[in-house]
Amino acid sequence: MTAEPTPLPGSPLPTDILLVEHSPLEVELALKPLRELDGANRIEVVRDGEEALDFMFGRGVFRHEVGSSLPRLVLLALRLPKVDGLDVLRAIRANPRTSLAPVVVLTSSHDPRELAQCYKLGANSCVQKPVRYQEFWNAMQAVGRYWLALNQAPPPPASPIA
Amino acid sequence: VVPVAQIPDTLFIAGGAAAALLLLLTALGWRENRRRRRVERSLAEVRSQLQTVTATMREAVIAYDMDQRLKFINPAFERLTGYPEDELRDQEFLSYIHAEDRPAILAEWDHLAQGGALRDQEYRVVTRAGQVRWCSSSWEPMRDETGRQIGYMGAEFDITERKLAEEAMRLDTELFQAVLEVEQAVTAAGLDSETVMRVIAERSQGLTGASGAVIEAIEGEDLVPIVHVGTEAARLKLSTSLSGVCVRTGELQRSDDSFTDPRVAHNYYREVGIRSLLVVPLRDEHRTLGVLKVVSPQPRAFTDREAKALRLLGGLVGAALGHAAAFEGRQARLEERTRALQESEQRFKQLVDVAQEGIWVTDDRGVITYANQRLADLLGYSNGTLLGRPVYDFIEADSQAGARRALSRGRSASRSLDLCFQRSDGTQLWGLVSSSSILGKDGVLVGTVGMVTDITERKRAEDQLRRSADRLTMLHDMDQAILAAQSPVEIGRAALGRVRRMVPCQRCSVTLFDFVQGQAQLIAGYAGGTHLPPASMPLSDLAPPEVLRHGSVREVEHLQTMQDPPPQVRLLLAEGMRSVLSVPLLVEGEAIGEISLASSTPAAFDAEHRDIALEVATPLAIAIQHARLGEEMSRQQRELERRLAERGATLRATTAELETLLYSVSHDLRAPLRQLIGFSRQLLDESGQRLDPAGLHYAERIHEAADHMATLVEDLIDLSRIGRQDLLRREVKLGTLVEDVVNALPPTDDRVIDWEVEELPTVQCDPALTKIAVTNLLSNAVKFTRPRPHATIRIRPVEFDGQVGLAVQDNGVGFKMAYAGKLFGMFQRLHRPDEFEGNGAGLAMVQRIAHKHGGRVWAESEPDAGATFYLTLGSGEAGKRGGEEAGTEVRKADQRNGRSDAQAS
Repeated sequence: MTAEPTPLPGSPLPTDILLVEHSPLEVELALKPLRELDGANRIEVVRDGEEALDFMFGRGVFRHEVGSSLPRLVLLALRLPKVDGLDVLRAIRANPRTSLAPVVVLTSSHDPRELAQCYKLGANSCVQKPVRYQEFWNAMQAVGRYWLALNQAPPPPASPIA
Repeated sequence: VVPVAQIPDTLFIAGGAAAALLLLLTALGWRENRRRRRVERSLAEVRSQLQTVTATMREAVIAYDMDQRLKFINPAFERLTGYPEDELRDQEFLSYIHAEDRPAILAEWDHLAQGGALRDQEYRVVTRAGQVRWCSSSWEPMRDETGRQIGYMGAEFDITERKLAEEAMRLDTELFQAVLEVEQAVTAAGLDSETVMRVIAERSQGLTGASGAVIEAIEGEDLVPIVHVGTEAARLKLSTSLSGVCVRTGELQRSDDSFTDPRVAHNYYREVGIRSLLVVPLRDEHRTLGVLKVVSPQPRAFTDREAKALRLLGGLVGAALGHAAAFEGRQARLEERTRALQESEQRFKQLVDVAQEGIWVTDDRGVITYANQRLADLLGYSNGTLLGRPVYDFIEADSQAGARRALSRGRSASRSLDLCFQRSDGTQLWGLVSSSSILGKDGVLVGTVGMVTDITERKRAEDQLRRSADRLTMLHDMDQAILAAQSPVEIGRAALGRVRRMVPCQRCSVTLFDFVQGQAQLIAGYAGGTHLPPASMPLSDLAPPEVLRHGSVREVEHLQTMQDPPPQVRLLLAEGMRSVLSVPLLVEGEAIGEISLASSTPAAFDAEHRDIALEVATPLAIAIQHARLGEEMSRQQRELERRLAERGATLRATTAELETLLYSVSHDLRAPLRQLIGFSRQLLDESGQRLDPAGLHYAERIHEAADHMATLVEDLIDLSRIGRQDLLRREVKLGTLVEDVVNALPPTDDRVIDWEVEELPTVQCDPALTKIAVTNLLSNAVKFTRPRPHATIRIRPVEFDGQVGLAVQDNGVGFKMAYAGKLFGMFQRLHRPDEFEGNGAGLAMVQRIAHKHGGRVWAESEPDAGATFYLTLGSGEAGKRGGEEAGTEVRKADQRNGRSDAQAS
C-alpha cells in the first residue's frame, strides 16, 4: 500500500483523482465506478482544460490549492472546451511542479497518431472507454485500482532527496 | 450508411470511364485498319505505276529483292528473254543469264552494295528458246528512305546486233591490219616467201580463231604442207582430201565435222582430232598452186565470217606463192598485191558504209581520217566536214576526259564507253562507243577505229527510269510518313523536301484550308534556302474559296500577265516568281489544302512536274488527314484522360473525406451510446423493481436497441479503419493463414465439419487484412452450414485475371443468385436475424479488403445447395521468387497496386 501523502497543515483533504471531462453525463457515468474504489476519498471534477490547469497550478478558483499535493491520478479526456486535452497534458509536463503527476488519457479512438502523440507528450497510460456499461465499469475500476492501490506515486516536488 | 454506398458507386464511374477508353481504342484500331488498307492500296498503285512507266520502254527492266527473289519484269524483258513473269519467277535465280556471266553480275551487286558507282556491263542473256543475246545492262540498288538497300533493279538493253557488227568490224579491222602487215612482210622479206607464208598462216589462225593453220602446195597427186602453225600437218592425197576438192573446184570448202564428212576419205584428222576445216585455194593468174587451211578440234567452229577472212588472206598468199614459184615478174606480183589490198579496202568500206553504227578512223592524234555516212548522219554533218577535224570536237565537255583516256590508249582490248556528242544543231547524242586501236608493226598507235551506237533513246529511258524510281522512292517515303503518323507540319516538310529534289522550283509550300473560318494555314514552306514559318492568311488571298474548294490543279505560266492577281500572287511576284503550279490535296474528293510550287522561270513546269506534284499530293493528303485525325484523337484521349484523372482525384478526395467523416462520426456516436447504455442499465439495475412491467419492458427495449446500435457502430468503425489503413503487402502463405483461422474459430460441439483444404498459393498481400477477410468467409461458411449435421467446407486455390486467391465452398443453405448483388453491401442481409445472426458487415469488409488489394470477391450459389465465395488478392508469381532483386520487384509491385487501389477507391 502506498503511503498517504502528508497534507500540508491547514490545507484541505488531498485530491486522489482529478477527472477532466466536459460531458456531465460522462462525468456521472465515470464517477460511479470510481467512487466505489477504496482510497478514492476525494475526486475532483473539472469541466474544461483551463479549469484543469487552474487546478493543477493552483490558479483562479483553485488559488487556495497552491502548495497542496498533486492528485494521485489525473483522468484526462482529450476533447475539452477552451484548452484541448493534449495542451493540458503538455502544460502539466512543462511545469516542474506538476511534471511528474500520473496522467491517464481517456481516448475514444484507436487512432494510432493520437495515441502516439499522447505518449510523446508524456501520458502515463491511454485507455479507451468501452461502450458497453459493464465493460466501462470494469475499465474505470481497473484503472482506478491500479493507480491508487498498486502504483507508487511520484514523490512530491518539495520532498528532499533521501 | 450513405458514405459506404458511395464506394461501389466510385467503382461504377471508374468502370464507365474504362468502357469509354475501350471504345476509343476500338475506334483507333478501326482507323488503323482502314489506314493500312489505304497504304496497301497506294502501294498497289505504285506497282501499277511502275508497270505503266516501264511498259513502253525499249529497255528490259527486272527487279530482285535482297533475297534474290524476282519482284518485277516489264514487257520488254519478256520480249527479250521470252519468259513470262510467272515462269521466270519459278526459275532458278538469274537463270536467264549465260552461266559464264552470272559471277560478273553477282560481283557487280557486291560492288553496288559496297557503295560502288553505277556502271554499264555487258553480258549474255539466254532466251527461253536457247538463243544467246548480248545485253548492255546497268544495275542499281533499290533503297528505302532510311537508305537501307531493299533490292536491285536492272535495265537491260539488247546490243546483240551491235555486238555482231562490232565483231565483224573487229574482224575486218584485223583483216585490214593483217593485209597491211602482210604487205609489209612481203616488202621486208623480199623473195623469202616462206616468211611471208608463215605470217599469213599466223594471221589466218588468229583471225579465224582456229587452233592451227596450214599452207599446202600441190606436188603431183599429193598436197604437201609448206608451213604449218598450231597443228601437225601431213602429206595428203588430192583424191581423198577436202583440200583436193578445193583444188579441183577452185572454191572455198568448209567441213563442219571431218569425222562424218564424205569428202574426207582419209583417217588423218581422226588421228589428230581435227573436226572443223576451212580451206581456200591459193592461185596465181593461171592455176591453183595449193591451199590455205585452218583447223579446229571443235565441230562447227567456222562461220561465214571466218570464211570471208580466209578467202581474203588466201588471195594474198596466192601472190606470194606465185612469187615463190618465180615464174612471174615483179610487176605482176605488185599488181596482185595492190589488187588484194584494194579488194580488202573495198570490203572494209562496204562494211562500214552499210553498218548501223557510226564509224570513224582517226590517226594517232585523234584527227578523223575516215567517217562513214552513218556517223555523219548521227552527228548531223555532211560526211566531208568531219574529215580532218579532231574527233574530240564533237564530244561534249563532260565526256571529253573519258573520251581522251579511252581513245588514246596503246595496245589494249577494245573497250566500250558511253559518250555524249554534240550534234550540229546543238542537241545531244548519247553514243555507246567501242574503240579499237590500230597499231603499227612496232606496236605504236597509229590510229583508232571507233564505232558509235546511238543510245540517246536508251539514255533517255534510263533517265526516265531513274526519275520514276525516284518518284517511287518518294511515294514510298510518303507512305512511310503515313505509317509513322507524324504531325502535319513534319509530313508537309518531308513532302516538300522530296518534291524539291524532283521538280526545280525556288519556292514551295503546303497550305491547309479551313473553309469554315475562311482561313488558309501555311504549315510547311521553303523559299530562298530556308523554311518558311507557319502562317495564317484569308483563303481569298490564295484564290476565290469556291475555286479552292473545287480542288483542281491551278497553273499560271506567266504570273506577270495575270489580271487582278490575289495577294498571294502579288507576294510571289515580289519574290521574283514568274510561274506557279498548285495541286490540291484531296481526301475523299474534298480539298483539304494544296501543295504549291513556284519558279522564277516563266512556264517552268511541264507535264512530268505536274504528274510528280499530283503523285505527291495523294499520299500527302492522306498523311496529313491521318495525322490531323491522330492529333485530334490523341487530343481527345488526353482530354478524356485528364477528365478521368480529375474525376478520380475528386473521387479520391471525396472518398477520403467520407471515410474520415465516417470514422469520426462513428467515434462520436460512441459517447452518447455509452451514456444511453450506461443509464438504461442503471435504470434497470437500480430502479427496475420500482417500474411497472410495461416500464421495465420499455427500459429493456431501450437498452437492447442501444446495445445493437453499439454493435453497428463498432462494425462501421472496423470498416472505416480498413479504408484508412495503409496496405502492407507481404509474402503470405494462404495455406498457413487458413490453418490458423480454422484453428481459431469457435468450436462447433453439436456437429461435424469436414475441412477440405487444398494446397494454396503464396500471395503478396496484407497479412492482417487478409486474415480478417478469410476469417469472415470461413465464419460465414460455418454459420450457414449450421442446419447441416455433417458440413463440408472446401478451400481451394483460384486464379482470375492474373490474380490468385482462394475459394471457400460450403454445403450450407446458400442463397438465390438474384440477391447476389446485395451480398457485399454494408449491413445488407439475405437472412432474417432469427435465422442467422449478424449485421451484414462481414462481407462488406471482405469486399473492402479485396478492393484495397486490387482484387475481387464474388460468389456463386443456389438456395440449399451451398455457396462458393471467391477471393483474389494479388499476383502469386512475384512471391515465389527469392533474393534481393525479387524484393525490389515486390516493392515495385506494391507501389503499382497501391496506385491502382487508390484509383479504384
